[in-house]
Amino acid sequence: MEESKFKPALISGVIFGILLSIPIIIPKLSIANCLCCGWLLACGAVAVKIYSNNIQVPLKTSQAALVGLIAGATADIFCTMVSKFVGLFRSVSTEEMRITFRQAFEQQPTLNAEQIDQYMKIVDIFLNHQIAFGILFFLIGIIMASGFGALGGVIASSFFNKGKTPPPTPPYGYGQSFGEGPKSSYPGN
Amino acid sequence: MLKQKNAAKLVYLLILLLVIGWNIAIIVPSYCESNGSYLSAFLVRKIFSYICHQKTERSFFIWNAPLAVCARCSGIYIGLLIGSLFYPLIRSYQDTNSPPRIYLIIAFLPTTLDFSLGMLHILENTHFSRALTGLIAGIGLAFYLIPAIVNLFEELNLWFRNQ
Repeated sequence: MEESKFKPALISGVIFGILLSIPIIIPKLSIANCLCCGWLLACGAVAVKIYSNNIQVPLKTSQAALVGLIAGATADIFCTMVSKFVGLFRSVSTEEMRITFRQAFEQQPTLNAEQIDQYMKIVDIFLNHQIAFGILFFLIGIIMASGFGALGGVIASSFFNKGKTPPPTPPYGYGQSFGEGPKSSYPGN
Repeated sequence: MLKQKNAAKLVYLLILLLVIGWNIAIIVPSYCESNGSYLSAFLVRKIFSYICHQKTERSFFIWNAPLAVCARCSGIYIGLLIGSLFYPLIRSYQDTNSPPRIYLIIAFLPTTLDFSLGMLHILENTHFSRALTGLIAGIGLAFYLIPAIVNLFEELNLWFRNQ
């Protein structure tokens, strides 16, 4: 029976989804952001490690990529769900969001007043079409997260395969002379 | 045999192109911002925001605007480009066996130390230290990423042939 790829990917995805959500839930712990794409690479790698522990044969790179991809996507979906859930409690109005954006732009030392106004026009477009852009950015997030998760999985596959030997190849012509290979000798079968 | 070599070469060139494109994409927001294309700058920065904190005080500036990623990430991606460029001179791109894992640990040790010492306020890291240690990690990463992706394409190629 083939081992499910989803279980290890979901486990790792949820674990790293929680880790990615830390700065959203507790903004003071934004230090977690410093690991950047490392979280997603690690997410794919951990998923592959769990998967490779459950199988006896060497892991294929394509299998590792798939497991990492699912894990990365799961982590991003989980993180988005947490941020939306937290957003429900914080219930920030559009005007408050505008002010937050303006303050963020004003803190940038290289931006002058004219550039800030230009950026605020773009922010207004996004805020006026929040659902459409929310879906677009959600999809972009999934693509980025699954891509990096897959890369983590692919790199990890070369590590976790070491020491595992492929199953012995059946002798040439095995099962061909009788069509289906050895049959059960139990009476009544 | 020749066909397999050509396929591996093609995959390598594809990876190289992607890495070059990725490195160009990092400087796109700076260029766009300096040319008044604020929407493009905003969108590209938004895409990179999923994989980097993009703190201005920790980023390099080109054309008086910050890059799309921080100094450490810039170092990693430039290192990945350097590693990918020099890869065929050191290893055959047909070789799908990755080097021993200890080399990857060694490659990531400086950036881990730089990050940890900075976080614990034992030794304040600088733009230069972040980028340089990231560069070492990126170069090392290329030697694991390329054989793994070549192997992945070989498996996919085999799978498609069997279908």
